[in-house]
Amino acid sequence: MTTPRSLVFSLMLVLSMIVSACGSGATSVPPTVAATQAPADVPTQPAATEVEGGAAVTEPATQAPAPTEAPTVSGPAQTELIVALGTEISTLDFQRTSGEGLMVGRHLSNHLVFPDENGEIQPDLAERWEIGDDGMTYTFFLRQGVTFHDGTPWNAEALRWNLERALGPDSPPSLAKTWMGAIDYSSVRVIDEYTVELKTFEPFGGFLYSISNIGGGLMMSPASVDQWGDDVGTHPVGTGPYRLLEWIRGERLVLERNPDYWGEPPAFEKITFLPIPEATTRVLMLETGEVDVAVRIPTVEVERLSANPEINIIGVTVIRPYSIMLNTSQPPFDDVRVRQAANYAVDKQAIVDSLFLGQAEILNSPLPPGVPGYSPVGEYPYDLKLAKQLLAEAGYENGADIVIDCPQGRLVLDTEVCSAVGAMLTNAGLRTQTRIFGDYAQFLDSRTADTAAYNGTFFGWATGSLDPDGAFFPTLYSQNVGKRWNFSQYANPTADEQIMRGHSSLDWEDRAEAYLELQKFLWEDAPWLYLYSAKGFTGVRAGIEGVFVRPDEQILLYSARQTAP
Amino acid sequence: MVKYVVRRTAMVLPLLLLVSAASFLLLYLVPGDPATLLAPPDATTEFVEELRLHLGLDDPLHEQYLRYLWGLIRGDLGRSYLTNRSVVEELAPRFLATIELALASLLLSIPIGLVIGIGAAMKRGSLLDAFLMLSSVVGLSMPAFWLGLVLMLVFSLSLGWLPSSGRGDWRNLVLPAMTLSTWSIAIIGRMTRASMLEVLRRDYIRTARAKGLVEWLVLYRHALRNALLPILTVIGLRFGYMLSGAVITETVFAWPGMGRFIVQAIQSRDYPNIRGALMLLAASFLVVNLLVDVLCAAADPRIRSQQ
Repeated sequence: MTTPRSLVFSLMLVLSMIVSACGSGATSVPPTVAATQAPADVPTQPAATEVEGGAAVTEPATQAPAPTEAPTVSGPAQTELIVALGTEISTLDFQRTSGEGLMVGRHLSNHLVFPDENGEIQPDLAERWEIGDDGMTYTFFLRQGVTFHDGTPWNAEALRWNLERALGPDSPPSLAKTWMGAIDYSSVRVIDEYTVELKTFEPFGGFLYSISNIGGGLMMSPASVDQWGDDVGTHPVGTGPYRLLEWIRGERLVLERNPDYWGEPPAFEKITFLPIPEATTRVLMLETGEVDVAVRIPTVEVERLSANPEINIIGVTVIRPYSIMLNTSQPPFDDVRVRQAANYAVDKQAIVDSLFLGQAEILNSPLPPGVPGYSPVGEYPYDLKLAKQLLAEAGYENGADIVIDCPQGRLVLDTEVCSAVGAMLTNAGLRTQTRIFGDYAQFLDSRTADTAAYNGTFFGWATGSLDPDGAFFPTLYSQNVGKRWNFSQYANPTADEQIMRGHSSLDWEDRAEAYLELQKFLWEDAPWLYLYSAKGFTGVRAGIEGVFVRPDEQILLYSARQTAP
Repeated sequence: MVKYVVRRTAMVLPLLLLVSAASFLLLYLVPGDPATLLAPPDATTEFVEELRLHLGLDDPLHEQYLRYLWGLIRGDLGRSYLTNRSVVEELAPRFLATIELALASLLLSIPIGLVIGIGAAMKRGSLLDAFLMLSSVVGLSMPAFWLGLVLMLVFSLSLGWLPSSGRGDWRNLVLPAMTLSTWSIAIIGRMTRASMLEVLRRDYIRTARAKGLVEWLVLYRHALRNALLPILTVIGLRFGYMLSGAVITETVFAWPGMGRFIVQAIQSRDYPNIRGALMLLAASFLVVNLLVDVLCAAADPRIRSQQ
């Protein structure tokens, strides 16, 4: 009698776990936003200088002088910074990790080059670089005297080894492979101990941004991989300002200052990262002072927390252009007039005011503010009459039935925005059925599985590399139709031409011009129903400054310090 | 008795095999592709294909299952897609954290639940009974999410007595254990009351009282021991449930246990982790069940002789 009972229980257990997890994707932490103003007094790195003749040469970085005196702080100085993250770090194998893992990784190691707080590429582990006349050959001159935490020297061989691990013939698919995929591995040449030459497959204007993306190109100690093999993700060894002290998965991850760091030594001796998935809990811990920094503060909490003198809330617009990506491959959105009608039919201001409490900006370009090359190119004011007129001109006097798909719990206020937009479109005659996807995996799958099944997708594509190419190429380039991220199935020769011009050119002036043309064209051609870019919020306890949050949601803490009281 | 235990233990193995097959099949049927989720946002479609090949997801289902089963027999649950660490290594600390929380919660809820249930049964129909039973309904209906946050607000933010979340010393354990116990206290209390009332009606209780036994001895030796079976079963079920991880409590208190682990694994379609966790949960559920059956048999000779 007990046996069938056990069986039933076990099976029910299995079933319920799977079903419940599929049904409630909302428990996932929305990969939202966060950004802060660059602290004005963070030491700026030397700027790159332009050299004519098709080659850009960067001056050797003059080492910023190390602070000679400790900041004068009365009372007990705080030596540890405690940070509440939203997710658990899965691995610190720099070539395989993602999201907040990369953010932690950036404290443990360095890139060849890295953008400064204004988004301009600066030397990092490469002291300078030269680009050949063909626009495809890069020579990197490496910083000398740098060692990994385990004593392994940083040199040309270490760089070659890192490239081989990411791109070599036997390398498994990895994140680094994507970000460094522009490099032709067979062309990598070690010239001398501190010089490496490599070629890209094609001229690629966003190349340096791509390899300096926080999501790729962090250098690993070759010896550490020899030592740990598959477990190197638990024992990361880099060149960075901090090194790993302790990591109890799911509980805490502690970094300690690297005494031999080649750059400016960080102020805090330790940084502890705690995975706190529930946003309300993060807020509470910030209030009790259990943490110094909390990521992704919910918009509804911002006003209340701002009134607290113990807490500073830093919010900056994040580079996600939230839109309904309209499926241009089938009626009714194959007609530009219907796409424009949809843009006129939605009252963006109402969404910003009522759902975001004003903490969002209505888009005025397909590029979100904050990405280089952004330029406001137009607006679609709320105009129901014009929307209906455009629909009638396109032959939809009686409107049309459409399906709009929406992930749940993945983007800030996603389902709320979708129902609001759906109601407004219905009001204009585009009778909208909203399909909510609680499970992100299923959402992604259905984007490519049956593209005829939907007319629109709510999404906010994050420009991963801080380069405009990353905003347009994956989402609107014709060759990506039917693949991930071109959810509009958009293929337009005019757009293609400008996308490729910006993609291939190495001259920023030329690229900027291409992207301006592109923004104007895309605004008129409206492959998306342009909505807004929202602000993201990070909470920092009063008395701590220098926390820098990039507009791509990544937080850099190595310049953080206590303010003098 | 020994024979009984051995026979019951032997039944666990085929059940685990069934669970392994069921979980494998279910994961196969669930939509969502691990490769799609594992691949970085900018990854090309070709990259995703390559990844799927690398993970062996394109192999025929029976091949994948046999490979998995062969690993299982050798005690190898595979490596997590996400972290590239062995699943056993991933699971062990999570399961320990969950056991810690479950035990703390049981330690809190068994005595309180028993006292409430016995008290209510003794004073049946009184104001106290009504109050206790009403409270238990409140306890049953209280959402863990809300209760956890309220406890945090009171004990961490306002009073500053206890840390609001995370795992550490006993102080970190108090609030999540309290949250998780509310439901158990209520259900144990109600079950104890019902079971006690059932027993207190019996003739042998009247006999015991009639022969002049003091009331607490009547309760302890005659009533409670006989009322114990359904209570044990409820506690066992509750314990089994808590071992599967209390997702909401763990999420609110950032407790690194099984519940959060499984939800995360399912969301990222980390098949090896999901399968490993399900096997572990099924096994622990079966073991708890077995223990309860054995305890019941120990408590009640009739069960032993029936077999």
